[in-house]
Parts: sequence; structure tokens; C-alpha cells
Amino acid sequence: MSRSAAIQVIEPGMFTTVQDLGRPGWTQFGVPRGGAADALSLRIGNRLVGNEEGAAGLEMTLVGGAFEFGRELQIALTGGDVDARIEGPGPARAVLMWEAFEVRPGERLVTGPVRSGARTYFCVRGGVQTPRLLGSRSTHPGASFGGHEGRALRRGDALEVGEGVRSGDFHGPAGVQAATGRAPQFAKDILARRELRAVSGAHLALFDASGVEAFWGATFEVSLNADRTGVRLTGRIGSAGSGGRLPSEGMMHGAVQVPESGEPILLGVDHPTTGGYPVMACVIAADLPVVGQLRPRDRVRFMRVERAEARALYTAQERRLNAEVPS
Amino acid sequence: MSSRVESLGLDWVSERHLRVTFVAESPDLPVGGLRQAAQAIRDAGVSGLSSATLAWSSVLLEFDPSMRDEEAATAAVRAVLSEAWASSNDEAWRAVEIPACFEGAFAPDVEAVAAHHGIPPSSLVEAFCAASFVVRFVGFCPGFAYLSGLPSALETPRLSTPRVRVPAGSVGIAGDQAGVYPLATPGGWRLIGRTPHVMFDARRNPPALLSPGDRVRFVAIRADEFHAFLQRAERHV
Repeated sequence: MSRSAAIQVIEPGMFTTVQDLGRPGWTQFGVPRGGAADALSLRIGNRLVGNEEGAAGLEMTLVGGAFEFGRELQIALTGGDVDARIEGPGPARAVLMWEAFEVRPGERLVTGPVRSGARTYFCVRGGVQTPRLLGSRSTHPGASFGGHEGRALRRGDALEVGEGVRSGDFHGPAGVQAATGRAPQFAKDILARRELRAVSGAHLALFDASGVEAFWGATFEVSLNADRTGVRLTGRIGSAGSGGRLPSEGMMHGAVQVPESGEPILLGVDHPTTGGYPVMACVIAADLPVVGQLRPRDRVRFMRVERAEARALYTAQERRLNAEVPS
Repeated sequence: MSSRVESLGLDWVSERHLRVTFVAESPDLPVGGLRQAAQAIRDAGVSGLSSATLAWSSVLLEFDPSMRDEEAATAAVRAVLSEAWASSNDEAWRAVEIPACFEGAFAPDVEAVAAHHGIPPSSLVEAFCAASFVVRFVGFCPGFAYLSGLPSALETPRLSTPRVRVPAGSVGIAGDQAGVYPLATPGGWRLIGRTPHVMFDARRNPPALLSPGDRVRFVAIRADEFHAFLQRAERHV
């Protein structure tokens, strides 16, 4: 444990991992893309501190951590709401989310429970530096690789931070250029959605009409069984006529699988790359960040859209992102 | 040979996923055909394509969500498939031997499986090691290879209650499939042995020991050979 580390973990929080935008293109080896469960928040955080949007940050789950800084850094908190303050040699001060701010050597960032949503992102100018494996710094906790030693952070872990990748475009220190008030609202509106837009899934034909109707009309509750792999929903709908098992085929982030029990599983970023349960629907790309913000007891519904509309919604959302938080 | 492409189904299964499926069991398509098709699609630089996931009889293609023109993407994939089919051949395959211990604690289900088939455990191991397996795809979790080629006399249903934890390296059978667990995970396959080989290591390229198309044989080793293998491997780290 080095006093000069850029970031030292004082308290890790409930489950905090290093994440970037993941490792696409390795599914033929069983490796899912992974990366930030709410990629939108990570991208915004990186933009706020002047990083490339795919730089690595910390994903804090349900309860945030405390971190001490070994040097001057620019950081930003995005995603699920937390109370955050800077404690240090000087007087403590509150910090706002969705804004970049500066911290000095010896100061600590202390974050509390995540009050809305499930995950808060801690982005730092220069990005958290861990070894790249299969092209990414992301932690895959299930397979114990990537990130910091392939696992969630622990007390005493020391993290290094890169040099700022670009100069002159830090949107701080007071978040003046970060379109304060607008960027948070835009992102918060997206992350607050609990009516997830989805397209019909790969095996729709296997479900009978009443099961399909029940699915689109139902309100589900997020169970305690919710992690980066997937979210099990409670609220039963009819399982597929095939008895709920098919020869394995490729699975995707956002797929709503319906196993024999009839209780759907919404697949997350670290989903199994293949699976044999019929897929009723697939959450559209624009709403995937929400999947990473679902927390136990949240109530969700699915709203059916067509593929062309799904693409248009994504394009519009990206345009809005670029207008509100320029990269 | 482009008529073979007609035996494929191309379906958009989300706004960003195109699934390529074998229609039924097309007899003229070799096991390796779909694997070659998946690789050809990856290599072709199809615009916006981010991954190609091979499974039993399908390839799932993921496109960047900013992709707009579904018809153009479908046509691009169809063209690559026609080309790949026309040039597909009896592929060169790689032979991989996997040492595994089929004794004692390494093989918690070997006696039950043998009893299920009314044969002694030694005959089960002999038949398993005589079989030539083919890696159909690697999926579910990092490095898990699904093997076909289990002799029909050894087909065994999976456990009714999955184990909470299956040790890494466990050799399992389920139905007509065989596989090796790369990681310690929950699992419902019958465990008849364990290999000291590391099946998945993200620091390697490729990261998985087995790749689709590989021909696999298991070689029985004793428990002391298993431990000796692990000790040698540790010295190399």
C-alpha cells in the first residue's frame, strides 16, 4: 500500500470494480463484452473530466466507497445518486454529481449509499490504469480477470491514474462548462425510466399469444437476484411451449429470457454468451443503461417498439448526448 | 455452391442483432461450415459488426446500435456467406489432448454414471477416452467448450439439483454433450474427471484452450500425475 498512489481505497463500498466500455469481439471464447453496466453514465463522466469516453473508471454498486488521493486529480461522479463530500486537511465540502471537480493530495472522497438506481460511476481525468486484458481494463468478476486483480476493490488497494489524455478541455473546476443543470437532467431522465422499450425477441413464436400479451402488460419486480450477469424479475408469465429449453444460441445484453419457471431474466453486461432459454424480448440499445441501474424492488414494465423505431431512438439519444455533454 | 446459403435463415432478432441459423439439419453442411462462416464474417470487416457468437447451429451477429440500414447489413452478410461457402473445404483441424484424472475426488459422479449404464467405472473411462470429440462452440462462460461426440452408450441426464460449486477443470457430461468447466461455478453436469489444464486465461491469445473445430481426446492420468502436472505448471508461472 503506497502513500503516493493516485487513489487509495479507504473503504471499497459494497461492490466496486474498475470498468471501461468493455471488450467487444471475444464472444467466440465465451467472453461477453462486459464493461460499465450503465455505459451512458461512464461515458458522460469521462466527457466531464476531458477523457476519451472509453477510459476506465470505478463502478460502485448500491453503497459507495471512500478514497484518498495521492495527488491533484479532476474527478466526476455520475449515474445513481449518492451523497458525496470531500474530507481533508481543510474543511469538508459537499460535491455535486454530474460535474467535474478537483481534489488535492491528502483529501478523501466519501460517498454514501446509492439512493436512486444501483450504480454510481467515479471517473477521473487520465482514467484508472489497470492492465488491459483482451483489449479492456474492465473487471469480469465472474471469471476473475481484468480490472484490479480480477476482483472487486478492497480496503488498502492502490490505483494508478493516467496522465490527462487531452489538454485544455477540462470542464472544471466548478463544472462551469459542463452545461450544469442540463446534462444531469437529460441523463437522469433516461436513467429514471422504468418502462423499458424493447423489441420482440428471437423466440417469440414459441410463446402462445396469451403469454406474449401477459408479458407486455405485466409489471415485474426486480428480485434480490440482480447483478452484472442479469436481473431476475418476479411476476410469472407463461413459459414457452417447448418446455423452456432450446439448443444453446448466442445471447445478448438486454435479452429477456423466460425459463421453465416463467419468471423472466433480463440479461446484463456480463451475461452468458450463449444460452438455451427462449427469448421473449430484447431491450433496445437506448435503454440498456437503465438495465444497469435496476435495483431490487424496482418495478419495471416493457413497452414494445419496432426495430426501425429502436434505431431512431438510439440515434436521437446519441445526438442529445453530444449536444448536452460535448466530448 | 452458393445454394448452400439458401439453407441458412437470416433473422433480425433485435434492432442490432442478426441471427444466422442452419435450417434444420442440412446434411450437406459440415460441422465446421458454420464455424468457418462465423470466422469469414468476422474477417470480412462487415460495416458496424462488433461480434459473432457461434453456438450449436447458429451464429449471432451483433452490430453497433448506430447501424441504420438493416437491408444493407443483411446483404453484406449474405455476400460474405456465399463467398465463404464457395471456398469452404474440409478444414484443417487441430488435435488437442486433454489429460484428466478420472479417480476418487476428481470424479465424484463416475461411479453413479457407470452404475446408470450398468458398466464398471473403468469401462466408462475407457470408452470416454476412446471417443473423439469435436468442439462445437465455446460459450456460456469464458472458455467453456461444448463438445459433441460422446458415445451414445454414455449419454446421461444432468443432475436434478445442480451443484453449488463445481471445481475448475471438472470434466462433465450432460445428455449427449461433454465439456470442461473452466472456472469454479455452479453446475448441473455429471462430473467424471478433472484436468489440471487451465482452460481459460485472459493473458493468453487465444484466451481459451479450446477453439471451435478442435478435435479433442481425453487421456487418463493418475492422481499423482495430476499433482505433478500442477507443480510443473506453478514453476512456469
